[in-house]
Amino acid sequence: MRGLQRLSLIGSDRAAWPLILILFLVGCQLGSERSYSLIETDCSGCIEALSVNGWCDRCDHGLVAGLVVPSREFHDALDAHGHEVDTETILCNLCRQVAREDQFCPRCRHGFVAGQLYFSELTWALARGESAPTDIRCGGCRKQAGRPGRCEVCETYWVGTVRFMSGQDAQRAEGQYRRLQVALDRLPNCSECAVAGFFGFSCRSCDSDPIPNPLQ
Amino acid sequence: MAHPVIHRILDRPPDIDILDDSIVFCSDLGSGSILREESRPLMIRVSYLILCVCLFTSGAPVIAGGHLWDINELYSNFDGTIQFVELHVPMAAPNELLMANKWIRSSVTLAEFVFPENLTGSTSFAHLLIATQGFANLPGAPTPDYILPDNFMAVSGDTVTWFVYGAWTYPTPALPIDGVMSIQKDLATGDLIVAANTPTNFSGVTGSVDAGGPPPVPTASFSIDVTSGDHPLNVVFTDTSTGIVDSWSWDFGDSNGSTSQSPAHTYTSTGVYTITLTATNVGGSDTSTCTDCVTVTDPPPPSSPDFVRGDTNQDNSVDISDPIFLLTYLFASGTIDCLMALDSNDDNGVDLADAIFLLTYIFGGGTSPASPFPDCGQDLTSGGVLDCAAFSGCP
Repeated sequence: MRGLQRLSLIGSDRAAWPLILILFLVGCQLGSERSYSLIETDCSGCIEALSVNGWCDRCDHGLVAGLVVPSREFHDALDAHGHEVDTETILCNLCRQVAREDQFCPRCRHGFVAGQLYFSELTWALARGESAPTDIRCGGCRKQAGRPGRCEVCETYWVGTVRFMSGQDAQRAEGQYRRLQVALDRLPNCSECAVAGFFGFSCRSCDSDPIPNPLQ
Repeated sequence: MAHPVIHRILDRPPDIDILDDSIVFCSDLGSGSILREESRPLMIRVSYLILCVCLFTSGAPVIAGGHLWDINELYSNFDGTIQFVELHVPMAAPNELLMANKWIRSSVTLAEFVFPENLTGSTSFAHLLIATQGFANLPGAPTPDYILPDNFMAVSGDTVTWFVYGAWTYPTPALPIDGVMSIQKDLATGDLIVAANTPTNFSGVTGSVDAGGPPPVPTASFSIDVTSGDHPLNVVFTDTSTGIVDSWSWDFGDSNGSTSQSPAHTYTSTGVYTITLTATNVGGSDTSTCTDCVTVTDPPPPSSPDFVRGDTNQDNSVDISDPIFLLTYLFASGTIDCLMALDSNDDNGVDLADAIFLLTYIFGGGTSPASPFPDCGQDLTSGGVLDCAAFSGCP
């Protein structure tokens, strides 16, 4: 109702009509794009989740670069998608600087890509690639997808389900991806151990060490 | 080795083409699902457009989580009864609301505070104040958003961890306990600094408290009831320190000590001992030392009855019958009550030399036996290793 009320308010304001026209055109453009739908699936949520590193309610697990994160707590802590923040309002001088350069702030442990904020070096590194492309026309990539490595055909790099144009970006992402794998290996024994270790802390419950960053 | 989901993706033969070489990457995810190109029905497109417009115009909130909260300030008074932890969102991020079940922990006390709920309201540049009840009772203190138990964090040397997002370890810088200063984050540089406390709660109410500093350092002093004597020597040490003392540490100088306020100690060895008392409170400690304060000596030999040296048969005279008695004792295995009387030459032994000594004295004009002689008395010469249970020759 609140939305409709606002819509009616806009409708009464002539200045709002250009906005509505733009939205209409955007909608038309979205509608004209090639789209995909699911058939033969019993876990459609996973595909949606994969593209945004989200949580699949139906299968009750999260996904990050194709890795299954079965702990909701861990997945929430990773929060592996970009967040809209006015980066110019950040009080940390270094953060503001690196935000302009799409870099990672080691002081606050926040990364920035295209004006969006990421909460860990992993999610920032992954965001510098192309997450879960919905179509892969390159045969080399089709063979390489899902394995860390380089597609010799189109000279791209893969880390999990993320494709990188830059080898340096891919290398950085792979290091973090491997740290996540180590954390996921800890998960069955101690959830806190996995989460704390990944974020650079010792685990009080099982007395484990932080997962080195970068991995040795 | 790739993770299970990736394996499923890879299980599909890579040369399979769907829809004119437009291979769908996620096609096998989960259960062999396949993506296929198709055109969305017109109604669906219109629905998307309406939904899009409604979202834009309604300002539907996007809940980002609780990731951007950071530790901003730590404060404690000297005894840990007045403490607070302040979190802060250092940017315009209005939706950092998901705090339920996130925690703050102390590595030393193992205390844990768990947020019981999510927040409501804007979190842009917001603060959260989690403080002890003692803090809440102070004048000038903003109302805490949540209550901490007393001594949540250690007063000196601790690591306070905020979920998986940050941890502050002191004493670098040390946590001030003067009741005014706190550890704070310089938001521009990220450095930890020490400055006057500025607790601020979620409503934006800020303040400053003065919980008072620690008590002055005590002055240690003590008294001793005896300073010398034979061992075993029992000494009572009485604490006379001034000021508030939380703990005492005594060093008795003989590798023993005590943490009692006014202990007693028994010295069992000869020696001269230096006593040290250290009195401590949260403000510091003071030490008082009494050098060479207690002198412990060997006890005198056990007392024996009066006797006359050389009067072996205890007839109150020294004559020929005494060496005969002595020789009889030596060679006929007789019994004797006072060996000291037989030790005529005072060499702390009874043997033939004593008989010869006596004979020489009686018949050859030799030296007389050592004291006690010729009158009854105690053995005042060195030694004293021989027994003398009884001597009937003295009154």
